[in-house]
Amino acid sequence: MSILLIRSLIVYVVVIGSVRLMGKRQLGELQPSELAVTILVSNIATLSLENSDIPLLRGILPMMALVCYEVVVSWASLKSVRLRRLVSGSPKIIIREGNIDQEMLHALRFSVDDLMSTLRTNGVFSVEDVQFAIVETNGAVSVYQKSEAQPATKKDVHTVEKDVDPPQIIIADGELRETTLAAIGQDRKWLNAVLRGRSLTVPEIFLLTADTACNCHIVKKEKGRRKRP
Amino acid sequence: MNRCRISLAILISLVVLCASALFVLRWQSEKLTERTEAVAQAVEGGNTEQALAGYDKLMEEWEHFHDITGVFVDGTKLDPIRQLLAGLRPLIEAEHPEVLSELERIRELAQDVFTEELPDLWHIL
Repeated sequence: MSILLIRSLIVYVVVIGSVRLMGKRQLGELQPSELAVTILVSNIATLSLENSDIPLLRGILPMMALVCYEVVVSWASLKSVRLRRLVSGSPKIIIREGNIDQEMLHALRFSVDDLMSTLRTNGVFSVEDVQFAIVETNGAVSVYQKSEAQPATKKDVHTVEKDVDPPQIIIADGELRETTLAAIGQDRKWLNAVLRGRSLTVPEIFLLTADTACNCHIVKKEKGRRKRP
Repeated sequence: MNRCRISLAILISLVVLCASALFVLRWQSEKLTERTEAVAQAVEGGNTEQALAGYDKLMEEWEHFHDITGVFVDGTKLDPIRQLLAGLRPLIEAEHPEVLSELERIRELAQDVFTEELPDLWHIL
C-alpha cells in the first residue's frame, strides 16, 4: 500500500510538471493536438497506478515523451505556417457578409442546429445580424456582428475616458503583495495611509484591490477569521 | 523557447535512458544465462552437488536480475522465469531428466527479456 502511495506522489509530480511544461495555453482553449495529448497523458498516468506490476518508468516515459513532442511541435508550428496548418488546421469562414456557406458547413459536419446554437451562445439570435462567423482551429466559433447589430461603445456615444489599468490585488487574505503594490506605482507609506484612514491593518483585510489611479476596494475578513497583529 | 529547450533536453535524456536500459537488460540476461549454463554443465557431468551449488548462485543472480530488470520490464515477463526456478531444485536433487530442458527454457526466457525490448519493427507494431 505504501508503494502505491509513493507511486501516486511521483505520478502526481510528473503530471503537474507535464502540464506546466506544456504551458498556460493548455489551461485555456485547446488545439486538437493539445487536447489529444492531454487526454493521453491523463490515461497513461493511471497505468502505473492501476497495476503495480507495470514499472513506473513505463508510465512516466511515454507521458514525458508525448508532452515533449507536443512542446517541440508547437514551437516548430510557430516557425512554419505549413506545419501549423498541418497540425492545427486553419480557421474556416461559415458565414460571410451575412450569407451562410452551406458547403463549408457540410464539410465541417456542422448542422444548422449547431450553427444556431453557437450563434446564440455568442449572443446572436438572428443570422441576419452576422457579418462573419468563423470556426477556429480549436472548434470555437467567433462571431462578428454587422455594425447596426453591435452594442454601442463609449466611442459611439462620444464619452471616451482616459484609459486606466485594471485593479490589482494588493492584499489577499491578510497577506501583502509587494510586487503588485509597486506595479501600481505606490509604496508601503501610501498603503499605510489608506489603512489608517479606515482603522484597519493588513491581517484584517480579506481583499484589497487598487489601480494606478489609487481607486481602492477593500473587503474585510469576516469575524472569527481576523487575526490581530 | 525555454520550454522547447527543456523539452528537447528531456527527449534526449529519454533516448539515452532507453539506450542504457537495453545495455542493462542485455548485461543482466547474459549474467543469468551464464549461471544457467553453469548449472546445465554440472547436471550434464552428473555432479549433483556442483549443480546444487550452481543453483544457489543462479538464485542469487536471479534476485539481482529481478530487481534490476523489474525497473524496465513488466513483472508478468519475469513471472515464468521465477516459476521455473522455483521448481528446479527438486528436479536437480532427484536427477530428473527434465532438468536440462527446464534450464534451456530459463535461458530462452532470460534472453527474451532483452530481445523483446529491442526496437524492432515487429515489436513496435
